[in-house]
Amino acid sequence: MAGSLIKVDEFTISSAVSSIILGGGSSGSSGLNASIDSTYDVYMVKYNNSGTSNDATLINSRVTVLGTPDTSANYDGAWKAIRTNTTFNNVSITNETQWTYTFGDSTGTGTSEKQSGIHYLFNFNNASEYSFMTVEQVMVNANAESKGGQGGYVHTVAQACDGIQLYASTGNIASGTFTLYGLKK
Amino acid sequence: MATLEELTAAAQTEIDAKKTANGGDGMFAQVNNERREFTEAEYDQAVIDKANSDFDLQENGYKQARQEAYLPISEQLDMIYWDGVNGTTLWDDHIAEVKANNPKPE
Repeated sequence: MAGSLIKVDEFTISSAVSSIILGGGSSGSSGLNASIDSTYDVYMVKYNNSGTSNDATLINSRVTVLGTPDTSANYDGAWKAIRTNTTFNNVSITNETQWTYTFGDSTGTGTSEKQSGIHYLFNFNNASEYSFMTVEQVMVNANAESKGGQGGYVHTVAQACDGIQLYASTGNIASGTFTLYGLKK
Repeated sequence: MATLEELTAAAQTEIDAKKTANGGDGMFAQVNNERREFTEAEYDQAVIDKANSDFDLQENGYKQARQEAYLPISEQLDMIYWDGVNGTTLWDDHIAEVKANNPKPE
C-alpha cells in the first residue's frame, strides 16, 4: 500500500557522537521533537552505514521514557549471527542494562566496516505491555568479515516508551543515517 | 582476572581522561539538534557501561573467539571421516587447538 511508511524522525551524523536518540521528544537528536506514541501501532528503525570512531566498538541501545534512557536491568534478547567466515552462532542476553549487540557485532574503522539494518518496534507506547524489537541486520564487522543477523529483543517492563537511544560502547558513532518510521494503521 | 570493581576503576580513569575538562576529546550526545558534551550523569553511566562491557568480554569473550576459530561443520565432518579412515586425530587436534588458544578464564 502506497504511503504506509511514514517518516517520523531522522538523524544523520555529521560530527561524531557517543549517543543519539530517535523519538524521545525534545531529548531526541534531530530537533524534530518527535516521539513514539499512539499515532502508530508499530514503528520501524532503519540505520544505514553506521560506523564507529574506535575499532571493535559495539552499538547498544535502550528504550527511553520521556526522553530519558531506561538503565534498569530488564533487557533481554536472542539472535542468530549468520557468518561468512565460519558457522553461525547463537547469542543471548538476559537482564542486562541495555540491549547489547543491537547492531549485531562490533565494527571497526577499516574501509567498508559498516552496519545497516532494520528494527521493528512493538508495544513501545503501550503502558501495559513489554516493549519488543525485532532485529534484521547486515554488516562488515571489525575483522572485515561479512555477516547477517536475525533475532529479537524484549524490554521486560510494562511501561510507555517514547524513543530509543543508540550509543557506542566506547568512543563515538562516527557515521550513519538513523531513521524512525511509523507504520500507518 | 580483574573484578568488576577493578574494571570499574579502570573505566573511570579512561572516561575521566576523555573529558574535555581534563584535556580529552570528550564524549558527546546529540540532543535536540545540538551536539553537546556528556553531562556528569552521562559520563557516570558511560563508566558503568564500559565496566560491564569489559567484564562481559573478560568472562565470555572466549566463547565468541572459539566460535570464530572453529572450522565450518562440513570441514569438521570431513576431518572426522578421514580420522576414521586413516586413524589420525585431525579433528581432536583442531578442537584442542582452538580451546587451548582461547582458554576459559579461571
